[in-house]
Amino acid sequence: MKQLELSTRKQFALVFLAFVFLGICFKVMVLVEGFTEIRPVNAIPVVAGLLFGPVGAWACAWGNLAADCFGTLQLTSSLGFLGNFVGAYLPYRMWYLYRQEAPHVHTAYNLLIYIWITFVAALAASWLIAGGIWFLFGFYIENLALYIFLNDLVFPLIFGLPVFIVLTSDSIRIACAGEKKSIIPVSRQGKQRLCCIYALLLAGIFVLLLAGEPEYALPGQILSVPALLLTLIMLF
Amino acid sequence: MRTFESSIIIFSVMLCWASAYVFIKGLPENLSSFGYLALMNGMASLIMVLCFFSRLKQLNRHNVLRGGVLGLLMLLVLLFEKAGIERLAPSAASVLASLGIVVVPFFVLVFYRRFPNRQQMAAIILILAGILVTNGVSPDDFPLVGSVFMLCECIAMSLYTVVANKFCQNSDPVLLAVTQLVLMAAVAFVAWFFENPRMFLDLEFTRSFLSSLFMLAIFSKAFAYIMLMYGQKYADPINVVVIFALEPVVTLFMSICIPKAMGGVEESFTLQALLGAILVVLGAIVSGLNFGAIRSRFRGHREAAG
Repeated sequence: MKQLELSTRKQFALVFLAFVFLGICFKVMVLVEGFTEIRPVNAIPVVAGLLFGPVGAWACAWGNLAADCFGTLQLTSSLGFLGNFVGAYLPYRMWYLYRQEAPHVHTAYNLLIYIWITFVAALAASWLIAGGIWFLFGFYIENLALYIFLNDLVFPLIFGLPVFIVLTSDSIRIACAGEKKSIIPVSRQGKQRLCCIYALLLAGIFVLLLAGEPEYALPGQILSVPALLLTLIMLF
Repeated sequence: MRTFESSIIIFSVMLCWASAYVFIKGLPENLSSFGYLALMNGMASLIMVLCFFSRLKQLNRHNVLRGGVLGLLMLLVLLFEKAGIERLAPSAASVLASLGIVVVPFFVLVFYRRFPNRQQMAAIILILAGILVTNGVSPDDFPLVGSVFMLCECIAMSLYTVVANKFCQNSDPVLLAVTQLVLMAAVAFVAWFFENPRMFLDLEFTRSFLSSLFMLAIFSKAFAYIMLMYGQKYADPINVVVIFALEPVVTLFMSICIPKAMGGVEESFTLQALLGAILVVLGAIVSGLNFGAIRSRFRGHREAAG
């Protein structure tokens, strides 16, 4: 069957509109007033990133910002913009670290990779948003990191994964964004090792965010410096 | 699409249906069952028509007929279910509804001339045992009329599972999903009109109501039906019914995890329920595992070691 190819404009519009529509619908199941709610819309970033690469990531970031305009727009929305961009772009970059083929989960190994990259992207988004609010804006919100992590882990697995399977199945065969060359001269194996260190670092920060003791703010800020550096290496 | 991929898809549909009760609590109390069906299916049809407008040009008599049959079967399921639940205790209704695990293999035999394999037989026995342990019913719990309605629901749902599997092989899953949703919406609107001619006018459209409406329309209707049609295209009907048998387990898990304030329910979690859930999960695992591959791999290792 012929591949389904969408123009860049269509890719952006599709992801952006889906994000805004679902983002607004779920504004009522609030977990932390003004900051987060139960968000099935978070199923989109991993799938959009894997399928459309940077276009999908930008669409998620702008879509999240547009949805925030319906009641929760504030200065910290910039962190949501960043978190959703990374939540989509990181899976795209990570996929090609492990596989040199277009994303699909037709094999158990690829399925494990999908789960692994979803896990790392969820940790990264949780650190960028909840950590950003604490380390940059100076106020700690209890359980925010956990809610963001669960939203970004559970929904891409229970809603995102089936959609991804259908879109990459023989019935549709959507054309995915190809691999983009890295501008940072680190070998693939080197990056794979760095990715494990990155995940451990993010997990460490996540534990600090869960604990939320005031004396953990400084270690969190210190750990965020290498985490930021590794994020840049992973993304570029 | 591989078997495990189609199982993931069917599992996500089951999750959508199992979690629908969280959003149903956000609907107004004066919304009748027909009103609920009309609004859900109407909204889902609208969303799907907007999303797949260009694809609707491929609609033909063949697709409409097949979608219509599936829509009618699903309507029968919903109507029998409503009539059965009104007359039976929830545990008895749950036991009768889950007899699909026995009826589907029978239909597979009729339609495909195929017996369930040993794994599937073992899974069916385990799941049935799990359901009986969880619900712990006695013969007095089954009044005749309610039981007949619930058995009809079970037969209609089993027929839907097998017929959908057959239709999806050579029809567009999206068109099948759209036509059955449109048909269900149309019938439900007519029934709602006869029940209450004021229809929408009696409802107060609050933000919470609209949000629940969108959620149900998107996840338990539009998303679920499209995914079900794609999943059914590649899945064995017996595996489909095995995955759907996990619904009470997921509901039990959700009732523990979702706080009451967010729409969850506080259910008493008993050892009996846990044991039943373990048996059902075990049945699903037995059905999904490829014992042939495991055995040959084990033999391969033994031969290599020898």
